[in-house]
Amino acid sequence: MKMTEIDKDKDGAALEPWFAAMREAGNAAPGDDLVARVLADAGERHPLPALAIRRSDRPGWRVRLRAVMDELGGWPAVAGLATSALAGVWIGVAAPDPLTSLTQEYLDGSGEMGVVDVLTAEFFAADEGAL
Amino acid sequence: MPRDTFAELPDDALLRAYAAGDGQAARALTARHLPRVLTHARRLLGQQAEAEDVAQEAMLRLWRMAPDWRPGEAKLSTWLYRVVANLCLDRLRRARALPLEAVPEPLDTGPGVVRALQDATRVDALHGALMRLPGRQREAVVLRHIEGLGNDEIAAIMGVSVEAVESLTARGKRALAAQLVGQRDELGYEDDRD
Repeated sequence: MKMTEIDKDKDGAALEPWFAAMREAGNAAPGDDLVARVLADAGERHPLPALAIRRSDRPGWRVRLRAVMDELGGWPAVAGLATSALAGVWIGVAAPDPLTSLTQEYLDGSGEMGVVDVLTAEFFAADEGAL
Repeated sequence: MPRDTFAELPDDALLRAYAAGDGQAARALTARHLPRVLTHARRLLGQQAEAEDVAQEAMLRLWRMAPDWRPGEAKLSTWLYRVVANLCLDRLRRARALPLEAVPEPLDTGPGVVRALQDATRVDALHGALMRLPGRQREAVVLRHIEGLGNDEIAAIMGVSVEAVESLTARGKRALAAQLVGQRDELGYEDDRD
């Protein structure tokens, strides 16, 4: 029976508030002294120096990948990062050519370009109240 | 990387690592199972100091058994429940019966008690009522309704048939209801779970 289920029998249903309270109280946390005694027993049974765990016991790459992804915030965060990375690559590869060539022609003076000053000196003088 | 590699390993691998002399595996097994072992012993015995002794003894049997553990044959938690129950029953048989003053009484709380105290009161009252049950009924009720185990697993833990588990839990609940449900009105519970 799952804990969330309530017994259909009369006694079980009537007792459910008491059972629920005890379930919610959870497990007791063992004191440091008890933990020390238990670990001392473990050490007496096997007083060998600690060994590295066998490679076959290590978590597989899927488990480790999932741990890294959890650290980053799970699948949604990783998907967002991947999308951003792809967008950056795309912008680098597919930069607009006309803009690139126009800039290059301006810098090396090879193109037939003219610079037009759309705001005259008189405009600035009028704007600053000199006229 | 995982913060604690051992915390992700299954019990079988931890037992194998411990049997090979790995102290970190013992720490991981202790962290994973000692709280449940201690709590189960306390529910069956009703006394903290006795429960701690049983928990230590159960874990000692785990360390002894580790080299012989056969992976995949049984759940370690099931094995530990059985060991704890046997140790508790041995102690209860030696003590014959708990002296009346050793049985915790429900707290004497009047009407108007705040909700936060209701749960604590209920836990205390159920604890006292459980201690008045025969040991096998108590074990069956705790495993079924507190630990949430299925009848098949309880039968494996207790070494009886599923029908016997059903009978033990039914008789245990009948006795608990007779002790506890009548207190609801006396204690002025305003239960919102029902």
